[in-house]
Amino acid sequence: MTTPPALTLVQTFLKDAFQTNLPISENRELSAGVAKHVAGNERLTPAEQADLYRRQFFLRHIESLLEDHPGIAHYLGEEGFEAFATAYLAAYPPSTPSLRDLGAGVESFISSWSGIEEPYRPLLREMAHYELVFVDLFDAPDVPSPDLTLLGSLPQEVWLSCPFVFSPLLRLVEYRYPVPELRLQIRNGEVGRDLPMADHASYAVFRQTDVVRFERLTSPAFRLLKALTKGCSLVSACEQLNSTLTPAEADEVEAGLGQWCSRWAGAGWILAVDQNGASLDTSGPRSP
Amino acid sequence: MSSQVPRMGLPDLGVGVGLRIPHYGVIFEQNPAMDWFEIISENFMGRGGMPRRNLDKALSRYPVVQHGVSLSIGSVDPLDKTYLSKLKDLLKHTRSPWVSDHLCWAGVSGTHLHDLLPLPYTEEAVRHVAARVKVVQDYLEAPFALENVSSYLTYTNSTMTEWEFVSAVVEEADCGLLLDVNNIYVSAYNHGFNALDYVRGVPHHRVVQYHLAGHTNHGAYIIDTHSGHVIDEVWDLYKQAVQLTGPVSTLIEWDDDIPAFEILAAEAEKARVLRTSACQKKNLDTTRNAPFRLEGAL
Repeated sequence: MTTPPALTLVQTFLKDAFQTNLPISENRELSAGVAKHVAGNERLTPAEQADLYRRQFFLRHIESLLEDHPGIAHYLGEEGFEAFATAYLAAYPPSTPSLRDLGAGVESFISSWSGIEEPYRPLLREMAHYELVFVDLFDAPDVPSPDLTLLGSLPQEVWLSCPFVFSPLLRLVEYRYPVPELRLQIRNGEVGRDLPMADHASYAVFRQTDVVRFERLTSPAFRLLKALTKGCSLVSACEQLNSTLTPAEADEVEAGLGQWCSRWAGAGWILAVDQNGASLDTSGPRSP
Repeated sequence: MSSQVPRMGLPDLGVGVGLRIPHYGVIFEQNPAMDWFEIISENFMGRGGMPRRNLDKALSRYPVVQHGVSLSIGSVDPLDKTYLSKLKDLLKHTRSPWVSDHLCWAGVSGTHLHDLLPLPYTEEAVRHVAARVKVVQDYLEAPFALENVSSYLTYTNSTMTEWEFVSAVVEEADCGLLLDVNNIYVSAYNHGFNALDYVRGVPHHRVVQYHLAGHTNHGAYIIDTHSGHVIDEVWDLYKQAVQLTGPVSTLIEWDDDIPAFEILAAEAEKARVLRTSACQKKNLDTTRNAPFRLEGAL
């Protein structure tokens, strides 16, 4: 297929015109350019006609960003979020057919955008990360539920010595601010816009029965789970962990290990125990 | 014209509505009478989670047809293979009797504007789009239909009317036409042409589906918002179109200020009554010509 020259010219020109953040009629040079391609009529000038599409570009994409990022929108406020989203769209123009990919650059944009008050930047960056995890998990491909009867029937030595197969619908995340809880409170209208207290915490974020949920984990449980998701057996994960545990944490691991494994399997995080380590699939969840 | 011959081999599904989230409760709990539902393909391309679960519920109860908004068939960028692959995966899952998208461009140079942007009505654009439709149709291995879009601008280099353009594209591409009657009305208002000329001017044997919807009139222009009831002028246009095409699968779209399902169902019923009366006036057989089978779906 050859590239049609006239069509290329008009599409390339209008693509840029539709992404300018001021009305086209306010830019004389752009208006003149639009008039070469767009006919206009007795009711609307070429610039006014093109501007209908320009306005739609911003309305549609800002609305989509708002839907996926209620946490960021809450702390920036209505006007602040509109300014943020407008600047974001200029820096990261939508590039895929799916609107769900629109926010892919939000976290890194927050790191550099000058419109954010400095104390809020780490909070908003973490909120962006969590909201993207949320979007990602929402309609990710389904995975079969674990066979809990089979898992429960496995001998203890298998549980101890073989790596686990984890659900790809599980993400392990650590935040300085409790963004999963904050986002929930924002959704329920229970939290103000003041900068919250930092509260370092670790979470498992996962999809269960079609709902994206989070669970706060203790530090030893999170570290153990992280080692396991990297393909370690329970024994080797515990060995790795041992040297880093305080005595109290060591007690916690010893007391909680059985319950944790049972809970993680019950929640669908552990899908299977890989009794053939050679075929171990480590392409599961990635940690931040 | 007789409805006994299925148009392009495709069935007349009757009158349906768009499958939208606010209606899931009513649809899945009460199984209301509805001939068929149309889904927006892009909303179900994620392959899992709640969207897929709800789609499967719909598939187990009703015929479902896929309608896309992001193919960008008129763009000068290469066709997006990842997108097409996902579309085909979904098609395998839904067994949609045909798949449609818009006769428009949606982006260029790697930017996707997520809009249904009109094309210049030129021979160059006809050749470009028709060639791409053939590729898409071959790849999807499914009947494909193009929908005429509403437009808010026209181009200085257009050399034909919109209906001449639409006709040339679907004939050269050998594909179906999803005729959106509201879009014709909106564009006729915005650009000052006669909507009936448009309806009369398209190849009626290629019309495989109708869309009907409400819109928002701003005085100097109309925006196709899919909001509110279908207005009387659009109903009249639909009646005239059906008299020319015979009974064709018809769908009511309502995407903004979405009302209770009963209101949408009443709008579908109105379309059904009008469709029947338009056909009776012309002695057209209104028997649905090829009952759609659910076997094999899922």
